[in-house]
Amino acid sequence: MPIYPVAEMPELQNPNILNPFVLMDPSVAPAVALVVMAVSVSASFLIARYFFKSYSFSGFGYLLGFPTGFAFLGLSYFFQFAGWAYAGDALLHPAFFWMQIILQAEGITLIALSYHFKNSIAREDAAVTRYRPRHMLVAVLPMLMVAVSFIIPSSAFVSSPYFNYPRLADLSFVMTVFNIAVLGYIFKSAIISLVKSANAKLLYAPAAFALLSLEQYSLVLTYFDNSSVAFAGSLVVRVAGLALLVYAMRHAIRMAQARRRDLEIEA
Amino acid sequence: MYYDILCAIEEDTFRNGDARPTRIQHYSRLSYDKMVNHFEEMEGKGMIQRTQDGLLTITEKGRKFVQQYDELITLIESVGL
Repeated sequence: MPIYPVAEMPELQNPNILNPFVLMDPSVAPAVALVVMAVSVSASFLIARYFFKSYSFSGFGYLLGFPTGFAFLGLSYFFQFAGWAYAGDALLHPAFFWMQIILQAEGITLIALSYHFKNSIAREDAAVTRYRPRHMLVAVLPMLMVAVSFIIPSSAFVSSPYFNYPRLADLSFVMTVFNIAVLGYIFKSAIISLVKSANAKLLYAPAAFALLSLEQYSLVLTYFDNSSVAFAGSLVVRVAGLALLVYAMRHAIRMAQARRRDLEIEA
Repeated sequence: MYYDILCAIEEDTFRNGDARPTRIQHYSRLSYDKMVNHFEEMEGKGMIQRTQDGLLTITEKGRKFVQQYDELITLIESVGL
């Protein structure tokens, strides 16, 4: 493979593949990028803050993945914006992109780990554990998930001494498919848990994760045809998913407050 | 554990008009020694008060703790965790 000086890299002629914000109309792109970044980062950190408080208050260790995951997601949205803001910088543009895909994949993985460990605890409580190969897989799976979302993007960087644009774009496709699979697991775990606990009225959270999954699917479409419509769709469903999760949280808190008021009136 | 004890005190007060340690022990299923230790800790943190005849009452701080715990548990459950 020939090694080009950064400024002459042929892939630089088509930078669209890394940050789809450049596909948008330049007259609206700055405002859209800024607003979407601000809303996504605020919502992610708000969710992270509430759940970190829940973790520190309740002391349930498995909860830690959820706020950490959303903090990572918030950072990834920031790096997506930064990548677009530095679209002309041959070093920072791909570097921010690399940060974005690592943080996004790790964030989604950490959220999934919260569900995974919660399910493991429930299974241990339900039955006397007998050692089986399946248990080994369950123990190894979290390590694999965390490793995959970090090692794959890192290996792409380490294997070539400079940022290789097409390779990074292919990598983003692989990581997007990985994200869809992990979000599918989160969706399944959340919905099963809510139905089991007779909380079927509160299906906002699975719906929110379904929307985040749809965001990733729209990004796959964007990867294949560089469609600004698909990318705009991915931004809309992402913001809708995060907003739905924030709404679900506020709804749950209001329900608890109303229940408490009823008890106090009864007393 | 604090949450269980505070809920037991609230429930006992609601049902019987006051909260007695023996009944709280029955609700919370703790050994007497452990329960007394918890009472001392909670009293030190200002969550409960003990009268001279041994009855228990929840303070405003204890009530706030129960309310906050309820909210956070509902929040966790709302996402299926």
